[in-house]
Amino acid sequence: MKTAQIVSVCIGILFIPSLAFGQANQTQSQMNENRLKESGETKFLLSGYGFTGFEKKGDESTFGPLGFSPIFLWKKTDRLFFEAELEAEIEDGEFDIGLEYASIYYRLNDFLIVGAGKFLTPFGIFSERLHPAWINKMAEKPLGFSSETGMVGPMTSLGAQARGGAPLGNTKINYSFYIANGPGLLTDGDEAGKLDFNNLGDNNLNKALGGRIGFLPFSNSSLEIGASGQFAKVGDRESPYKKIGAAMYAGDLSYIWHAKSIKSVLDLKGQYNYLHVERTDYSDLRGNSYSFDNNSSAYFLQVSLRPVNVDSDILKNVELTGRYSRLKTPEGSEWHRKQKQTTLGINYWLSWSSVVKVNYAIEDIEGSDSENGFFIQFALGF
Amino acid sequence: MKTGNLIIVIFTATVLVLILFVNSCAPSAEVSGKPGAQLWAENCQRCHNTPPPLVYDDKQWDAVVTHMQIRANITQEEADKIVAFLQESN
Ligand code: HEC
Repeated sequence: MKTAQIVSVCIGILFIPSLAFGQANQTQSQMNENRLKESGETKFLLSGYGFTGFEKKGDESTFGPLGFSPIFLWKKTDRLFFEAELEAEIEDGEFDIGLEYASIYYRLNDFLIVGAGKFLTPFGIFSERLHPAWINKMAEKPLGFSSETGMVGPMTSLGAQARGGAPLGNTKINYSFYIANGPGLLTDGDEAGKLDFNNLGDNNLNKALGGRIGFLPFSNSSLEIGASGQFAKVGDRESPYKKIGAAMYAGDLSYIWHAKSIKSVLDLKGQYNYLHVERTDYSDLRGNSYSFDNNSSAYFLQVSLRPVNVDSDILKNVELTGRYSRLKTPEGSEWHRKQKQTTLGINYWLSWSSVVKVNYAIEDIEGSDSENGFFIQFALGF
Repeated sequence: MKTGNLIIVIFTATVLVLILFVNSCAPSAEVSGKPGAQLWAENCQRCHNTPPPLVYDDKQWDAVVTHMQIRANITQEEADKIVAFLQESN
């Protein structure tokens, strides 16, 4: 069976449950229809975020990185929605501007929204839900979740998706499935074997298929656990690597606990990514061929505590944060790296979406001097 | 990854979703009785601090909650009740 056929079958299957449920729930959808007739006006919001800061790593220090990301939201009708984010950044002395995402969504029914465009990939939770500077509790992204350290998993994808959420008794389940151009395999020089996730044009006929299923076991939605996967052929169409496939998996966790005894909110987040590229031969700069087990992994676990219910107006805006993160790239590759990082921080919230972060990061890179870092970041969502 | 494996993975995932949805895709009485204010407090704190109702006007809230419904896969019933609560309280 061709991939295209599989995809159409899957998308077809996805529709069945929503239709079946749609019938059982006539009154709800009739109510929605009535509501639909009353509206139709475009609702627009310009939002987004900005951040700036100062960092000192080893014996280097600099102001920045600096970022400005306007987000445009248009709700055309109760079913039709468009979102786009532009991203302008100064990082490592360079100015970059990009289209972070731009997608059109159509709500087919209460349990299915379809969309197409460039989107934050629903693979785990960091890319889609936690990366904006005013949401990320730390000044830096975890190891393996930023382009600086190398991505072990996708950040954005160009393609189409189907997603939704549904109640199940006292629990909830949600899903996001996507088909996208998918990553491309780098085969030259010191990056041979690495995946390029910025594959905006497709390098082959094969499309990446992926998705995430999330489950919220408690009726107060405090805990969500998720499992994600993505599969694709990654080699260039005209190259000897065209048959090489890559599979990646992620597990994620998100938990919010109102600890009444200490008048605080405890927020726990974590994600584990594993990436496997099929073994193949690459040639080094002298033309000798070599190969390696191409497996990478990255994870982080983050905890934060904020005493939101104390009387002091100052103290209730203070948040203590800690994060452990780890990255491992393939041994035998030119880009082999084994790295650990522990970050401790204090955040001060100036509004619900504006924060000043002060972080200290202790880094341990195998085979090289560790470089501890100090960061101050000011982030504002608007 | 072989195409065979791929089919298996996707098939399992879709069947799982199918079974779950068709079997019991309805909230319990406790959950469906929740007011918008409670759903806002419980759901809008999961990824970032809970936004207070006053920060946007009615139309803006409509756009924001649709944005969040897609981002967080919040159910339609939750989204409807949360928008109504935010629009009443701003
Ligand atoms: C699954 C995580 C998640 C949940 C749950 C969530 N948000 Fe968000 N929210 C985000 C992210 C991520 C952004 C940043 C915007 C982006 O990346 O597109 C954001 C941005 C916002 C913004 C800034 C304006 C905008 O739309 O960009 C508002 C306001 C907001 N959320 C309100 C809410 C409300 C109200 C709820 C509850 C219905 C909610 N959020 C639940 C992840 C979440």
